[in-house]
Amino acid sequence: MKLRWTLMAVAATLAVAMPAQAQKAKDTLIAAFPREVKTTDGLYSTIRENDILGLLVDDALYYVDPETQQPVPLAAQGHEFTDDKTLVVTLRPDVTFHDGSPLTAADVVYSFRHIVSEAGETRYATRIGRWLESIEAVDDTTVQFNMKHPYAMVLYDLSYYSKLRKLGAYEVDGVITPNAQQNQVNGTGPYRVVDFQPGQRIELALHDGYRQDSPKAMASIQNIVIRMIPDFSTQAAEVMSGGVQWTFNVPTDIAENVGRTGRAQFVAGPSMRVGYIALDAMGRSDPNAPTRDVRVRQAMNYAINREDIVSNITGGTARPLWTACQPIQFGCTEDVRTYDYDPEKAKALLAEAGYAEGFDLEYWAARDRPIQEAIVNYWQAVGINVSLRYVKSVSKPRNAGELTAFYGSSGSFSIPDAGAIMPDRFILDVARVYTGDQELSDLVASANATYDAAVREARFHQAVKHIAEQAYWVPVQKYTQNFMLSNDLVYVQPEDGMPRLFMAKWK
Amino acid sequence: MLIYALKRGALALLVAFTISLVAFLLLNFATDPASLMAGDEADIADVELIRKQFGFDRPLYVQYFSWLGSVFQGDFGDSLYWRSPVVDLVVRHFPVTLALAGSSILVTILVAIPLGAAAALNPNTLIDRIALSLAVAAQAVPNFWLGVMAIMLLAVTFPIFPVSGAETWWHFVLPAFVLGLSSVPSVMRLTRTGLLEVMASDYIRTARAKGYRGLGLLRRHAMRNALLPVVSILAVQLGEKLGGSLVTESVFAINGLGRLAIESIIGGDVPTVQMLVFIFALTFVLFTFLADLLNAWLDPRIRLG
Repeated sequence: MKLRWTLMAVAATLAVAMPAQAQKAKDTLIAAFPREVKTTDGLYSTIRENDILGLLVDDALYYVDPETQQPVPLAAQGHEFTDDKTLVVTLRPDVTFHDGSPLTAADVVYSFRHIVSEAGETRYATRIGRWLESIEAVDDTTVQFNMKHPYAMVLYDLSYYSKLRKLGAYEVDGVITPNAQQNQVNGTGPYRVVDFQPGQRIELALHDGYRQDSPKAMASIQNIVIRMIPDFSTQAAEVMSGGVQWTFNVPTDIAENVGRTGRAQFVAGPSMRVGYIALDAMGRSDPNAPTRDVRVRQAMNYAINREDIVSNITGGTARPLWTACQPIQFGCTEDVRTYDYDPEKAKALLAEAGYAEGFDLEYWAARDRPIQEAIVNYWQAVGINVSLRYVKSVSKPRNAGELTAFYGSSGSFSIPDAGAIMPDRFILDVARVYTGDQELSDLVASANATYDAAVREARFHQAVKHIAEQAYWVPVQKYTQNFMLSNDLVYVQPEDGMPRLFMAKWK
Repeated sequence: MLIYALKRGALALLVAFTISLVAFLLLNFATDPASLMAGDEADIADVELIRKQFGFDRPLYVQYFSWLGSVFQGDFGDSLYWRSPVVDLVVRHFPVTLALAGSSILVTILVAIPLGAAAALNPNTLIDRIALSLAVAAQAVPNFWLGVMAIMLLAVTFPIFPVSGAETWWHFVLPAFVLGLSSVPSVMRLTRTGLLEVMASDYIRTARAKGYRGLGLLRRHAMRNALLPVVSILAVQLGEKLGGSLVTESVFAINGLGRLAIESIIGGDVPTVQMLVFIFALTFVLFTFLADLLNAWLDPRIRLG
């Protein structure tokens, strides 16, 4: 009897181990995405899943090096600023699309014109159109970007948003058709799309014609299958049973539990995402909003115990945030005024501002409910009568100027530069800005309008110190990014938080 | 009978349109489809561009009647996310849901009817108590919990079934079990009650007098009459399940109508949500209607009254 049970246990263990080994033997990595990928064309989606897919199937002109966090040439060979509004980019001569055709300057010009065109309906029209005046081919391997104004972030924009498409890729029977590349994008990246079942699975295979001196040439696994599994518990079960080898963005408790079983690895990696509470300092929501008083805003900062939030709720590599950007970003600094948890000081500041009895506050949030409930409790503890409005999206009332306090987060598109987060949150002509601070707005705008790194850094430093002093935000946390990996896989998450699946290798 | 059918059909359509209107209003009041479509990181100008491109800047009543007008012309529109006709999307997702619904109803039949029969044949005994307890337990256990537990036990600890997906019939065993079990209590109790009533009737006494006992009596005489109400409730259950099971499809990563509905709601894909709500309502009403017809056909008092 004992022998029978032992054999059953061994059989079960072997059966569990077999699928993972089988995947390694077949050189096929199965990854799980929590959200549905609706298109293989990254120009038509802004979700992180499409960013990950885009890095596999598309090569942009530039690429953010995971070690240095600097843009390095990818499909480009190099560039030159002929003046502060003209960027000339030379293309590599050996870049090919998955259909075997070579990349030319005409393709690049076509791609950018499509990205910014109204008929193209791409998701990056505004971002690129904000700085791109026009683009022209100088010769077969050279393109010239004419910019509306000097723009320090241009190479980062050319790294993440400049998917390159074959000339005429979106024209079907002479009509511009945005979904022409939806099912099988003809990209230039290390992997090509073999099969796409929308919302279900994507099969990729190494692109045979991919050049070996590319910064992304470390891609070694022959096939990648991406399955969409919305439930993280199901993902955990798949990883433990060997059905999936790579998952990302997993809640800490689930990932930790899986790691403890020894049947899969739990890897907590860095994330560029930060979470913060924006306060209405200019009275957009109400001319008499208590948050117009800097002492109230500072009190709301002192009232929050960030350490407890990150250790007890978020976990993983999450850390308290004290500044208005992610500290690993260029131009960001943590050398700012901090507000350590001090409820007594918060109460004193509220009393000094004339709110000894507290005040009523509607607090809006659309993610991380447990964190929001903790924040509500902290504020209530110092006398603020908070009601939480937890909704699907805060953007509509936020942009309409209706909110006094709301939770926001930004992943900065994983761009390691304060210029990726601060302009959208502190330049006054942006609808989500509630500071009313023209001086700060000008300072942030000027930081992105110069190429002088030292000047940029100094301006961003000055801006974040001012923001902390004025307590325009209640910075809350730097997020964690958790992965579940099969035991036979090696994957190291880069510092910028952008998952690069092609860096995964079998042990 | 024809007038009865026409009346019920008109009522079904009215219910479906009313539900679609409520869904449309809820979706627009509770969320901002343009922001949801643009995504978390999208630029505000992009959100506004989407609002304009997809006509979300028009008054709500204009949007709704524009949709309604197209529906009456047989055009359910294009999905805003998938950028393909909504009808194609539904047709693509329907077979999986049909397979799951069919197999789960099979599980319900295989579990509930024998259990109900055993309870009815042994009223107020330990068997009856056990059958009732099982039914109550099945009703009390939430699907998501049962699904995860079934996966952990039968796909991870003892890897007999696949964890998730819908590639083969083998993939449907666990989700069909989980989804089917949720319908067991009502069907089981109805079988038990029906059988108890039938077993006390005169013709069963006659059958017993002729020597029929046990399963033979059950199969040849009792079951046929006892199962009539069961058939109608199974029709309604099938209608419900064809609407897609949001929870079971999510837990088992099955890409059916339930998941399509969730993703469309989360993504603010108004045309897809509208069509799905319309279909769900219509399917449910249709199967209820079929059950009504069945009852009316079986019982003249209903159709004549």
